[in-house]
Formats: sequence, structure tokens, C-alpha cells
Amino acid sequence: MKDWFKKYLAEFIGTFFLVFTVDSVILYCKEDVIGAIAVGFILMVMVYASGRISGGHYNPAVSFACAIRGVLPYRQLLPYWIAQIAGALTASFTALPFMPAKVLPRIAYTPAELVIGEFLFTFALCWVVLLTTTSDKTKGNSYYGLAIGATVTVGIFAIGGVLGYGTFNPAVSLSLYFIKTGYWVFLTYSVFASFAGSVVASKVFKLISE
Amino acid sequence: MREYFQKYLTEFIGTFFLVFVVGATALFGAEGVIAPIAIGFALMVMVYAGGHISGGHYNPAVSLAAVIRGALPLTQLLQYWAAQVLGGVAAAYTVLAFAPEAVKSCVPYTYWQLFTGEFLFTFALCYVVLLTATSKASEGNSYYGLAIGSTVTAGAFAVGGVLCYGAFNPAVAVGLGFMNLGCWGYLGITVITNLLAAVVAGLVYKFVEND
Repeated sequence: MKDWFKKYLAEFIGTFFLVFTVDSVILYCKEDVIGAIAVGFILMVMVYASGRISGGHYNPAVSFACAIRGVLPYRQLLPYWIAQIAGALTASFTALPFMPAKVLPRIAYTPAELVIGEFLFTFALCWVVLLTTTSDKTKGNSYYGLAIGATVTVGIFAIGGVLGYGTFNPAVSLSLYFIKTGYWVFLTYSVFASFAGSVVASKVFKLISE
Repeated sequence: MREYFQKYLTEFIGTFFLVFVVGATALFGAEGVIAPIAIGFALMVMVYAGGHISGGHYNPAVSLAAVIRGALPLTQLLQYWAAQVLGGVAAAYTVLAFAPEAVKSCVPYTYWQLFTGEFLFTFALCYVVLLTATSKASEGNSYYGLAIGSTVTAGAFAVGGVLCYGAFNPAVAVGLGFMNLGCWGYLGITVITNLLAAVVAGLVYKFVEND
């Protein structure tokens, strides 16, 4: 039992820092290129720090992909999601009080833009996670964190702010609503697209690894 | 005895370069996005270089976390702190000697801004150091330097200059003070917050890690 609480705490901390960094670079109006690098770096760091404890998902879509792939028991899915969402909410409400007076615009996208952008790079993220951290053939490698963090950096550079919010993570999408930068309905599209990406990634993973 | 002096010298050199890069990017006019990347890289290379000798802390808060975790004997803490602070002060004066003109900046932060920014990312830094560099389960990895340096880069991007100085390191805070890049009052809060975060990270480590 205590072992599982360690995992939940690790997921909480990792998701907290991921989301806090996302919120900070958005709210505190940092220059454009910073966001993608900072967010990829913090994900990399947290994956390296506690990846071997909890799997280092920090992302409900990644946990779902791991459940389908068989490295996370299905009955642990809900507690993982709760830990991740709790981390995301705590981060949102830690970042919000320091927000400058300036009101950020809520950004709108067409559903097609949102779905394709979030789908593609959540697919890529889950694909990279499964192949670098859950495959027997890559066991013992030291590059998994770099690969996972860099996927998010690349995704944000490629489509973030153009084809969707560039979250690739339902917990981050949820946080964007609370820091008032995303519309509820569009974020719902993002969440569904993310989960779709994770399902397809784990199915394709099974296809190529059997 | 000689073995310990090797460690202190390594800590001195690593902290010197870390604080030198902090000061150089601030005072020699590096562009906006460069400083956090340069500082993170400086920490990364020094961790890779001297990590196996001294532990590669270069940060009194990290040394404190290492003591709580049991990776550094308590009797060595003061010497480590002295080596680190000396390295930071030496770097500060070296930068100052070549700084184009004397700048005195005292960015005002509120207590809660300072506390939140410094606490969170010093916690993250100590958490990452303990898990990637002192844990049996991650022994032999090649990523620890990358992970440790990048924590500072991400933290400086996220909160540096907005909520706080983005030091995450009492030796850097002291260096900033000598380079007139911060006010001593705020830097004092920074130092205390850094050490507090280190204690919390040490305790969280003990909970999540099995060894």
C-alpha cells in the first residue's frame, strides 16, 4: 500500500512542476521560444527524477497508454489520474495569484485544428514513452527522459498556438481552463484528442513489438 | 585528509564557474533567453565533471539535502558550504572586475513571490539531485548532469525575474549580492527559503525512495 502512495506522490509532484511551468511561462508573458524549451526541460527532469518510481507519466493520456500496453494495472488508472489532476489544480492555483493585472485572451481554434494537433503529438509522446521506457529492448538506457521531454518541445514548436493549445496532456488542458487561457469546449476536444492519440499509440506499439 | 581537500576544491571550482556564468550573462549583456540556458549548461557540465569527486553540489541547499538523505556526513557540511560560498564570492569579484559599468539593481519582489519561486524550484532541484545522483536504484546512469542542469534552466525560465531572482542556490544568492544584482534583504529571504526547500526535498526523498 505504501508503495502505491509513493507512486501517487511522485505523480503529483511531477505533474505539479510540469503544469506550474506551463502556467508560469503563459501567465508571466515570457518570450515565445521559452515556453516550449522550459516545458520540455521540466518534463525531462521530472521523468529522470521519479520515472523509476511511478513510471513518470504526469499525464493522464500517457497513463492510459501504459494501462493498455500492460505496464500499469487498470485499477491504478483512476488513482494515477486523481494524483495528476490534483497536481495540475494545485499548480494552477499556485501560479494564479501572481498573475499580472493584464487579462489574457482566451484562445479559440476550429475543432479540426485542435483534434489533429493534439492527436498527432499526444500519439508521438505516448509512442516515445512506450518505446523508450517500457520496451525490453531499450532497458537500461539513459536517454528516455531527453526523448520524452524533447517530444513535447518539438510538438509545441510545431503546432502549439497554431493547431491547438499544444498541451498533449489532459491535466495541462484542465489547467489552461483554470488560468483562463482556454475555452472549456475546446479543451474538451483537446482532452478527447489526447486520449485518442494515446489509444492509437499503444495499439501500434503492440503491433510492432509482437 | 587530502581526499577531503580534493572535494572542497572541486566544489570551489564548480561553484565558481556556476556563479561566474550567472554574473557574466547578467552583466555582459547576454540576450533574454540565453542566461537560463547558459546557467543550466554550466551546472550540467560541472556536475558531470566533478560529480564523482565531491557529489557535484555547488549549492549549499543541495549539500544540506544530501546530509538529510545521508549522502554527505554532517561533519562535512560547513566545509562544503565554505568552499561553495568562497567560490561564489570569488566568481562575483572576477565578473565585477570586467563588468562594463557598475550597475546596481534591486528588483522588488513581495515576500510571497520570493518564497514561492525560490521554494518550488529549489525543492525541484534537490529532489532531482537526490533521485538521480544519490540513489542506489539509479546508480550508473548517464543522465544525472543533464537532469540537474535542466532543472535550473526550467526554473529560471518559469519564475526567474518574475517571482524571484531565480537563484535556487544560496551561493548564487550571495554572489548576486556582491555583484549588486539584488538587495541583501531579499537575498537573505532567498537563502533561508532555499535551505527550507532542501529540508523538505530531503524528507520527501526519504518517503518516495526505497533505499
